[in-house]
Amino acid sequence: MFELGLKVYVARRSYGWLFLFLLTILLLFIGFFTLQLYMAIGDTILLISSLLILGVALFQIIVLANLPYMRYELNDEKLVIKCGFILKYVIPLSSIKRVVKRDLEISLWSSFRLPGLALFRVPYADVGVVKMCATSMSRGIILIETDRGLYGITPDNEEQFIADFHSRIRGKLL
Amino acid sequence: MRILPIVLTFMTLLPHFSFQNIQMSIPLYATFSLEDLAITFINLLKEGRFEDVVKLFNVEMAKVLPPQKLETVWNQLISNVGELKEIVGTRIAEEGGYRAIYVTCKFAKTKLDIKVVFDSEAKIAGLWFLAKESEGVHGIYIAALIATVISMLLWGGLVYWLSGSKWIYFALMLMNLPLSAIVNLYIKKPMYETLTSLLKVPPILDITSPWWFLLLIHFLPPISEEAIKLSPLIARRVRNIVNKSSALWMGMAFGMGFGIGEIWYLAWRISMMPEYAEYPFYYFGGFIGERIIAVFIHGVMTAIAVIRFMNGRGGLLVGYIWAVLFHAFANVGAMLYQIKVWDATIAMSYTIIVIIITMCLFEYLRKRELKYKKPKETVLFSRNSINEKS
Repeated sequence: MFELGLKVYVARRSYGWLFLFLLTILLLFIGFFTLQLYMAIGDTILLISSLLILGVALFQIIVLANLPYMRYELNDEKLVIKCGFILKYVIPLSSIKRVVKRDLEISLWSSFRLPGLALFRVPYADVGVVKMCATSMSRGIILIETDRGLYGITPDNEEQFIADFHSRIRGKLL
Repeated sequence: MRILPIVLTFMTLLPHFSFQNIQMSIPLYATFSLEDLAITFINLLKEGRFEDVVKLFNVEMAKVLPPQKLETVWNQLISNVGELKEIVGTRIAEEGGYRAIYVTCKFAKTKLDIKVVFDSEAKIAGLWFLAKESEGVHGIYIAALIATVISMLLWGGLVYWLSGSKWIYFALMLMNLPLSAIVNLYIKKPMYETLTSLLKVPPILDITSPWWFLLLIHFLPPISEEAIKLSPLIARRVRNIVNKSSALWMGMAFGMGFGIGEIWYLAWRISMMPEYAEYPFYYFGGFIGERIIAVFIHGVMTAIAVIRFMNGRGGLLVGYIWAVLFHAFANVGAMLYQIKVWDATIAMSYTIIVIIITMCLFEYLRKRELKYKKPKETVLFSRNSINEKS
């Protein structure tokens, strides 16, 4: 439905999808290879392993299909961060305390993070856990500090996004 | 092409000079019977008729290798390469005027060439067990290459990325590449041999070994390896580049360089073992995975010491002790597996715990390092400043 004053910003381009695609192909290969091994040997561990691997691969295929729909929707009340139907964060503008642009320090802990892509909750060594919906793993992230935690985005038209954000938040404050 | 001498003692017990004095070479007409003799000799070994085997030896050989000793050596070989299945073929060679018969034997796990050297009286004067000559590179070296490339990409890339794209850490890594071979061949091995002979303890570790000896041997690699990993700090030029923000990465580089060197040292050791001679590289998947992890763990251990070095030489000593303790802790699983207290599953589970602890430690060290790094950020909006203005 059309929403009054709504402005939609797309994420900046990256090759994150390519890394995810290659990783998915690799997982599919390993998963089917393990399945073949299970058929030959009959070890249940192999079956469980192959199903887990193929499950992860399937999830990645779903993410890949949703990546083109990464959006940041800004209206007078809230900022909605979306990636197709797999991810949606709603941030009321009144809850935003600070917005900065910075590089983040990645950590070793596992998360949905690849070169050129970061989704869901991602732990960083310097700022802690950030809810990411970005086409960069750590460089040039717009970090939004709110009452409910940190969010990381990478809008394509960054200057326009910030100007728009400023005008709306000032409108609410003044 | 490669010929891999098997680590079996009795062929080395019989050096070449033992039949250097033989004046007359075997006449050519004798070759057919020598092949038969070599096959007979091996069949007797297979049947366990060691008393009869020794009758085929010349005097010197019989002294060096009496029936009981021959039995021990043969059983040791069988435990490594499996039962002798069949004799595949023979070939004759004339080496330094003597007749050597190479008998290719198929064992349960691998193929070996048994080289039987005859003296002028058609008595066995020398014996070697050789890994079957094969085409191409040993599988373990391909596995070592894969482990090295993945370690460099994964851990080298991590250090490069997180340290702010600095190539100097790769140069520091190169410095430590030969240190694993040096510490193993010239420090650990002689120390181990000296300790076992001084303390009169059997050299093979098992559950029956005295606990204090096991403890001593358990701490030998941590003490020696952690010390040698820090040896580049002896150079003033290297010391001069250590600071609060570089210490972590320098330590990682030293440890990872050592770890990559260790991959090749171990590959070389494994290539000597006949039971692995015919394994293709993909049989060494466990080796690849374990070594990749070990490279990272080595890096973190050394980083602990180098970070402490920022507190002066006393700090380096404290850091070294911490690194030794952590190294010893990480090796517990391998040690208990070696003395057959833990099975492979428990040892593997322990390794997973060690990996998680190492990752936590790395993250802790990084957080300390990040304290000295001021983040470059552009403030685009701040509610406080807006409130102040309004």
